[in-house]
Amino acid sequence: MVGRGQAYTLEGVLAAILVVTATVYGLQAIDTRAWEDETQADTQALQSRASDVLSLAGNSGALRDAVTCYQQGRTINGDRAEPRSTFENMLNTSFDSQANQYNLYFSYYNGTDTEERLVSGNPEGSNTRAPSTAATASTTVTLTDSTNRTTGDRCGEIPVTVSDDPSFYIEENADSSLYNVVEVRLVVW
Amino acid sequence: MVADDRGQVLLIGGLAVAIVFLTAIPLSNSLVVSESASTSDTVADIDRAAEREASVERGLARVLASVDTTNTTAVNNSLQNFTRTYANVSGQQDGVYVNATVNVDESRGGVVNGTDDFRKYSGGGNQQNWDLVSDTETISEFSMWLNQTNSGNPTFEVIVSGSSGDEWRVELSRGTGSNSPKTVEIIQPDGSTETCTSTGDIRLDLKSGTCTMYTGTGSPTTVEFTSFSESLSEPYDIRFERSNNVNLGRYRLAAVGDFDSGSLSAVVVPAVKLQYVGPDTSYTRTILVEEES
Repeated sequence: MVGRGQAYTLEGVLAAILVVTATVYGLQAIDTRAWEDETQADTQALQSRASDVLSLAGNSGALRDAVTCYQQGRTINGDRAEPRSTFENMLNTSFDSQANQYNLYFSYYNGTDTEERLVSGNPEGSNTRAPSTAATASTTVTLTDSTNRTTGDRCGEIPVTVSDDPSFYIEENADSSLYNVVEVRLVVW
Repeated sequence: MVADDRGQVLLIGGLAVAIVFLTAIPLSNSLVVSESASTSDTVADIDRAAEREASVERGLARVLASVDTTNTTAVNNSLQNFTRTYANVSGQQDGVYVNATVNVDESRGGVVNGTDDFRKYSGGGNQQNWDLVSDTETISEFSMWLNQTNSGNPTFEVIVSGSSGDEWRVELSRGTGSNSPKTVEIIQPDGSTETCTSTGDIRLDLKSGTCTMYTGTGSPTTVEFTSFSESLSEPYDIRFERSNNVNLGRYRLAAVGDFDSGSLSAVVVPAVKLQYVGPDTSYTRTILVEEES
């Protein structure tokens, strides 16, 4: 009877070891990461790409050049034929060449309400509407009275300031040396 | 009978233990799911806030570049304009509000200026050879007017030395006659020189490198020279020599560095108290905004 008791104990211990080993083995075999479908992962990757592009362009001044460059007939789009401005080159490398579509908006306060402009032109092809999985990134660009206009394919600086150019699309919205603040919004899908 | 029953109990007990362990696996999986889902959201919020903050700082630097930062009222006016415009464009779409004011106590910088002769009067005597500032890396203004000087070659010198000990000098000389012209000679560390000469007043902008000559009633002419910031590396020490020989003139230097006693404190690099209120985060902190060049 005593011998049988010992055998039971041993058997129990062995069974416990077996089950624990199986658990550890099982945990290693399966993927315990958060479940997400491919679209979600894509959107997140797009989101970080879009915000990286805006951060880089904002820091280097390329985004300001793009804001002062836009006018009727001169859209800001990475899909343009070369030569392009620095920001358009960034858009081209990051999105156009990866078969992503995007809309670029500039919004600013014109004294009474916020005006938003689609400056990238309408995307081409069948997939022209931003789907619900589109990623959005935004940043702001500050223009002062002494900021120069940029023009041409490369958005080169010209010796005319934004406050001196009556044809510039953004109106002055401050009495001091500040000209206006423009919010740049990039919607990518 | 008892032994047979125990076998069954053990079997059921074993099964129960196995079930407990098997449920532990999916349970731990779901724990990881909830944890990682909440983490990624928080990270995205912080990312957005950081990017917003960076764009606010860029904007502030841009605004401050076009203001005389030593004038605190002008700086505060510009900041108010900026925060109002920023709230208009950003608040309506993203719910991000910022408020920025200059914190004068935390700001860095000083100003030395003088009129008539260029001697140092404050902090012990009227020294003719003296250091305006040492160890300076940020200079927002360094200019001088030279109206009347004694004769001599050179009669007055400005010496800027860089980190390597090289010197960039401005030597002013004038002949003995009452109508003899003043000549300003800029001597680069490599020995090359640039000059400008005038019988009338001379205005030097040593930071940007321009010499404006006024002669009689004619319109002034301006020539450019290589500034010390292009030929020396930071930090700089700036010194006047024989400053008693300038009889009439004025100078002004606004910089961040070690000033002798007698300098006025001024906002050269403003400390901006920035309040950020966003949908996910809000905070107040003070940042030093260097001018954007």
